[in-house]
Amino acid sequence: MAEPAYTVASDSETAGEEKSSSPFPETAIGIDIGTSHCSVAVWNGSQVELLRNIRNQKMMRSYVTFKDENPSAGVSDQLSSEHDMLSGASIFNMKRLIGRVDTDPVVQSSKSLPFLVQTLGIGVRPLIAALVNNVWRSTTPEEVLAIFLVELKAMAEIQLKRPIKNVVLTIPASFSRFQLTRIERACAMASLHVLRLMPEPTAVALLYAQQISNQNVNTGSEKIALIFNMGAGYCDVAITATAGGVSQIKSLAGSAIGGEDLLLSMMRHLLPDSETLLTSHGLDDIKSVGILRVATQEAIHTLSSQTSVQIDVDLGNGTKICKVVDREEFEEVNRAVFDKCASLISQCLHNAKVDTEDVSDVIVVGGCSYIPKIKSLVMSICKKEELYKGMKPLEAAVIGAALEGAVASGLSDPFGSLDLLTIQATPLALGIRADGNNFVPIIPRNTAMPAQKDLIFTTAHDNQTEALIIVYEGEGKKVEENHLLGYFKITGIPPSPKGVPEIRVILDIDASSVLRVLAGVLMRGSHQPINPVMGVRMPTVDDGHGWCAEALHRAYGSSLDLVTVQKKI
Amino acid sequence: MSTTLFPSAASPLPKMPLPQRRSFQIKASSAQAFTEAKPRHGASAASLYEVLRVTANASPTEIKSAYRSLAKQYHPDASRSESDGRDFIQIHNAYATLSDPAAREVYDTSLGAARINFSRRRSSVGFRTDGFYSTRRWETDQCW
Repeated sequence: MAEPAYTVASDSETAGEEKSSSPFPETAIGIDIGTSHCSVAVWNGSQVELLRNIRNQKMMRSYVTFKDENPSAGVSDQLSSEHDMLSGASIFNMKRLIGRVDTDPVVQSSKSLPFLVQTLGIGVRPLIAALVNNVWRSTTPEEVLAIFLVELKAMAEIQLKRPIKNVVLTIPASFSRFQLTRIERACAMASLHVLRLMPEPTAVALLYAQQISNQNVNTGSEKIALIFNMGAGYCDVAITATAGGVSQIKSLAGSAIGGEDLLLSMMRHLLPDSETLLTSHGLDDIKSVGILRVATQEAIHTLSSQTSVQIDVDLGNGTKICKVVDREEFEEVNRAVFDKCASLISQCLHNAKVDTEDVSDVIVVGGCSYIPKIKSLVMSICKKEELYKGMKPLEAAVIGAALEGAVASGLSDPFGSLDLLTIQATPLALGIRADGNNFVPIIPRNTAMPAQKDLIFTTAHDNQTEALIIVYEGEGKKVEENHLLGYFKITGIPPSPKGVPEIRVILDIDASSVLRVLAGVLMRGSHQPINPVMGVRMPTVDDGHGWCAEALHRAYGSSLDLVTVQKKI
Repeated sequence: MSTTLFPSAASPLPKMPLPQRRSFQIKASSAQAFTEAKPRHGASAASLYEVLRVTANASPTEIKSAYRSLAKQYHPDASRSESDGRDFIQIHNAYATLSDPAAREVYDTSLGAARINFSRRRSSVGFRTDGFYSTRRWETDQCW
């Protein structure tokens, strides 16, 4: 890499404002890094084109294999068979692991993967390691992702014959802002600048907006669409209202459930009492689990087109599985996953205040969209006889990301194909700790972005001169149910009885989705701050953030607490 | 000071020259947020109808399509836009109130009251309606 290998894009103040700086903007490419597959697309001047690797593949496996010296990623690497990926030398499912601490259930369930995921259960990042020459060589999800992105970038640069800098990445709707910083960090390590991070269903919404505006010239009527996107790692739902090329996201919901969970529960079903085998990581055990994994995956794929499948597999450790599994059994084993999918859809409809009869189109995309149960459950909740046609399930998100890349790069199209806009919404509420251990949202979930909102707080104690602003993201009523984003202290509150000082907290999300928290003490009866206000870009927490809130509580107790002020009407 | 772009005069759909903002100004405006945010005293506060450039008796459909076309003009992501997020936030807030029938009614009442006050007191400060419906209503923030 000729450029500095490690420039932290997330610290750049001008992120996302590059379009005004150059008369010939570079078109940002769209990247969909899936849990299992990855793809790249770019606006070629008249339409979106998916790039292919040297083996002519549009969908590339998302993994990195560590060898003696140079790791190689799934962009160019040739897998002779799926088993090669399961020897312990390859790290995959980066998207499931990135930015999570070792107490996270998703990390816990990843312990049955062939590479090492070691957890101590204390709220720090897990140790992740690949098996290289009989040594567990440690790495991080960010590093693995960066290696993968470097290959992806090289591939795109060769094909497009120009340097690639700006990218639009799709991300799961359920990602916390902390996880987003990890994605940005990985991009920075790969010398890529993140122009936009788009929740996957909103990228699909942009593609839908384009297709709809192509279809009807009369843009007066608004169409409500429900977008359900489920891949290997995540399930996301969005409700969008579209007219005239403008897609407004009315609600978003997501969860870290996906094909990987279907696979794991099916493996456990086929081989009961396999917990020790799944997590042991002895050389022979890794091999056996790999065989089981491949066989199970094939069986699940077969069940999408057939009603039953014969599984006949020798795990090589003396265990043979010989079993016929039918579709009902598969659906029963994974009932919890399907129930969760259903609840996400209902929640999304409810939050958007949309009735199923208002929904014009139901779009189901992602790798899991081939599963009959997924299609039928989405259709039954939405009370629809058929699903929206006209999108390739595996390509919709990356095409949407490429469209956003073109739009956000400031390109326009003479035929109006880029006359598009997605008005994003906040997937999670943002707020601070107040009234004891409560989470007080300041920007609620599903607020249109960019956004700015404020609330007035006051002191919890007499003569309190300082207060802690502890910022969280999430939906829980108590702070510990939410993601900690950061914290800072405001000082110089004039000594007065509790409840008298007015402390104003503003949360500001700009067009690049950068969150800033501004806080200051107001003069009595005025909106002018007494001292310079604090302006802190969030998140500020780094690794081990699971501990920070507890440490703050140990150090300060409730002495620097805030309480909400009842608004005067 | 206020940086409201919208003229206080209720002229129908004025074609406005947009200030060319550069990135340092964008940063400055985000830093000014603290002092300039909600309470907009002074002469430049426009009514929500003026923000959306519709008449006070606009139909819900008119409000919706006005919002959409303004979003295409002022949302920072839109290809034609030269604006940072401030204008869009103002447009969206206006839309959030006017697209909710209950909130619009309350707002219309407050607007009427302000007009009466204005004519009675002949205040030199001028016509002042805060811009926003004063009670926080989460549910109005997301409607479209």
